[in-house]
Amino acid sequence: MEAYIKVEDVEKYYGSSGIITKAVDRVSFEISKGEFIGIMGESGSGKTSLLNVLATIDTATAGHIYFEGKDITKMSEDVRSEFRKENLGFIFQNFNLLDTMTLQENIYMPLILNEQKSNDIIKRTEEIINILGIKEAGNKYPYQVSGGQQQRCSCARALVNNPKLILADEPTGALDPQNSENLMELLLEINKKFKTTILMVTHDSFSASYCNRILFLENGKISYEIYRGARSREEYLGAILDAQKA
Amino acid sequence: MLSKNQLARRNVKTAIIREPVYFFTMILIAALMFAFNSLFFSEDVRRACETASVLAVFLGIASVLIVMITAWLIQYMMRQSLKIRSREFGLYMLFGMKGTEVFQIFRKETVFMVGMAYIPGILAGELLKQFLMVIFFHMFRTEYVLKMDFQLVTVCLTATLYLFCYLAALLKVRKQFSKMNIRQLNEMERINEADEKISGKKKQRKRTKKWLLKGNRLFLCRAIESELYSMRKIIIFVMSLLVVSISGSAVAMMYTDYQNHQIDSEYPFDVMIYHQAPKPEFQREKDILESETGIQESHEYVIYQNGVSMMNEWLYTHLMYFGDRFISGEGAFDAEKLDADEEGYDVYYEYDTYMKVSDYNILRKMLGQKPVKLRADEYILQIKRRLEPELTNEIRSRTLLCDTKELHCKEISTVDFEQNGHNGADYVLVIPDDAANHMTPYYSVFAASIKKQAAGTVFDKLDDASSGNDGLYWGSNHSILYVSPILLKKQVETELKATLVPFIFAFAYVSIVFLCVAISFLASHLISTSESNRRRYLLLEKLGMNQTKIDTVIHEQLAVNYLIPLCMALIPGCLIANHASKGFILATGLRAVWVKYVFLSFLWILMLYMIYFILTDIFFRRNIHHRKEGNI
Repeated sequence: MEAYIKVEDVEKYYGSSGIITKAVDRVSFEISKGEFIGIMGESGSGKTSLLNVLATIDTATAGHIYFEGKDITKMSEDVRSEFRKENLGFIFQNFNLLDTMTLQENIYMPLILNEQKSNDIIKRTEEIINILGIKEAGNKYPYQVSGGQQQRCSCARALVNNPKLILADEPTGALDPQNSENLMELLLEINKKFKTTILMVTHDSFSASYCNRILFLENGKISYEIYRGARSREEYLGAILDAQKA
Repeated sequence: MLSKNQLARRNVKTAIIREPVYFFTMILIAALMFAFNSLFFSEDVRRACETASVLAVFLGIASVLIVMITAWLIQYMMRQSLKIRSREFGLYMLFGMKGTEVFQIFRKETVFMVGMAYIPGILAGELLKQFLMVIFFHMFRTEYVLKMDFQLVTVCLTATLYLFCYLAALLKVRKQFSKMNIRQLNEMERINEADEKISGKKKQRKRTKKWLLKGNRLFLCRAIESELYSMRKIIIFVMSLLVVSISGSAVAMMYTDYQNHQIDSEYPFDVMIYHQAPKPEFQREKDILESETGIQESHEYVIYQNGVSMMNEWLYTHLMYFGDRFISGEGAFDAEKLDADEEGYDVYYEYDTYMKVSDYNILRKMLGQKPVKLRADEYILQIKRRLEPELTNEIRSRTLLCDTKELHCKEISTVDFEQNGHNGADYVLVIPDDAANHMTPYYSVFAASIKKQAAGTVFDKLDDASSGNDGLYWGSNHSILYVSPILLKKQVETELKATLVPFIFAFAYVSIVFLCVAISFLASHLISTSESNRRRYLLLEKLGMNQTKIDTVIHEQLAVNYLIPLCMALIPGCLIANHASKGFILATGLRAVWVKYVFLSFLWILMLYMIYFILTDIFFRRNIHHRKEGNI
């Protein structure tokens, strides 16, 4: 069976004229549909660079990435924008909500960009707000709500367009342990309920333990890969910690 | 190792790249200062304008205003720079520099900056000066030959004023430096970040309107709403500067219009000489003109009276100019009040003034107008155009009684006819020659068109030759009006322009510099907000908005930010211009439509606005896109 997303010998270099940093070095892996995959590694290991290339926010120096069989590295900038709009949802470490808009309006944005009808935008936003339990905070501004609510809003914005792939960059990085756990439960629920494929970059072992599979990145290369399989989450967390020590 | 000088030079380079609009404004202000200061000392200006000292006084007053506003702008930019670079300065101190040493670097940077802006500034100023000279000489209807002429005194004066602006600003900032420590410098940056974060602070919002959920509307509307909140003080300040600029420009345009058109219409004849004797005796004046300028056409004629002053009384009691000054309690004309007048409102001859239609037609011919025909029972009311709207039906259909004949008003003529005392004061009643023959000759007038326009000595000779020209009355006129029994058009023009041009230049100078400061201030502020906007635009990009659409949103956002203070300034600008135009009409007699001047001011302001908008747009987008690569 063909992989949902296929990453093939992807390289990403930064810099020019002599001083070149290899952020991603010939990385290859595949992602199945509905998978919840994590990418772990130390700071500077190339996690975010890889995520950005996958998200088409940045271009790969070499290699190919196939999304449902289409090579997204060959797309022009405008086509990449369309691709992001139609297929991807983003969750960021610092939530990245527009501070000038209410939570509800932040969730409207992907739908507006997708040129949906006003009534559909309102209906779909209400649905997602109810699912994520932030109805009460809908008309508040980001600075008026807690970090947990902001991140839920960020999730709602990522989900509202029914994306095929959610990319999460250190989503629990700015949250306290309780809110981190709540968020990870939520992502797991999204993954199971909507069969949405999730790719999460994290250096937090606890968050990573919610993934089906984890890729470990070291100096831009995949050094290790572990599957949860039939293990309990606690066992899996232990395995992740062992893998990190190794 | 990097010396302090090298460090300062490098920092200036960075500052110019970071704040190009500020640098551009400083060059522009240096150019404007140099160009206008050149007028102070220009020999050509002195030769063209005998009262050049008035120009110097007006420009001097304007310069004080300009130095103040420029010093404020520089001081503001320095404080902004201090905020933006607070971490850098904190680091210098952390490495062991004292506050005073950090200030020394800052001062050196300022000196480099002054030099770098001043040199291109005076070069641009010299070009601008040529442009101003052409306008100046065009105003005096004299040809100006372009010539580069760097006067040391102008260069030094501009440098002094320019340096003074910077030094005043430096002194103010120095106090801030001397009080700073590392902790405060670090806090300053945090305060900056906090400023950005609270930029959208509002109460909880109610339901979002449906029409906003299309295209860029929601994003744009919220971004602008937030900026209006955080920039409200800046908007009000910029608006105030723009109000000064619009008003200054409108006033300058009013007077430019006056001196371009009104002189021709107020003084249509090349030469006009009044003599109180009712029998024309102008031989000496004719001889002088014949020998000095040559006479193309001339005419001597008499103005008549019939012992009636009905028209005068009507004007005294009905014109806005007099108000109710000469109206009695019963609403009629009060001659006693007129006799008692000491404010200079006694402006009409004792009796109504009449002219023969044959004389009228000769004068019309001299002005290139068609002759008119009058039946024996008709007359024409020849009156100043400005007064025509104030005439009521009563006066328009008035019947004159001349001897035993009744004359009916055939028409009211408002052709330009020199009615500041010569062809009557404000008006003259044109009647058939037969009717005039039954009247009493009042005073005599000589009108001529000459071959060669002249002023100065010719005027002096005419003045010496004339005698018996007392008793001239000039009509309901204005503070700027030139009144004299001897009117030599070139002389009038030169004297009026010498009075008006300094006024016009000073207003134009203030207008343009206030405009530059206002837009530069706004542009610098907007560019400095590009950092907080960058996050928003990057998010839109991640959400799938393409580059073209992001650029469109940026254009729209900046355009709205630019237009809001300008549109807000239009309302007080219009009110001030309207008020000024009323005073202007009273002062000049020109029918000024203030909307025209505000509109023209708005247009040229918009032109400079466009230049700054384009610059802001370029640098704003550059800042948005610049560090994207590194940050993603």
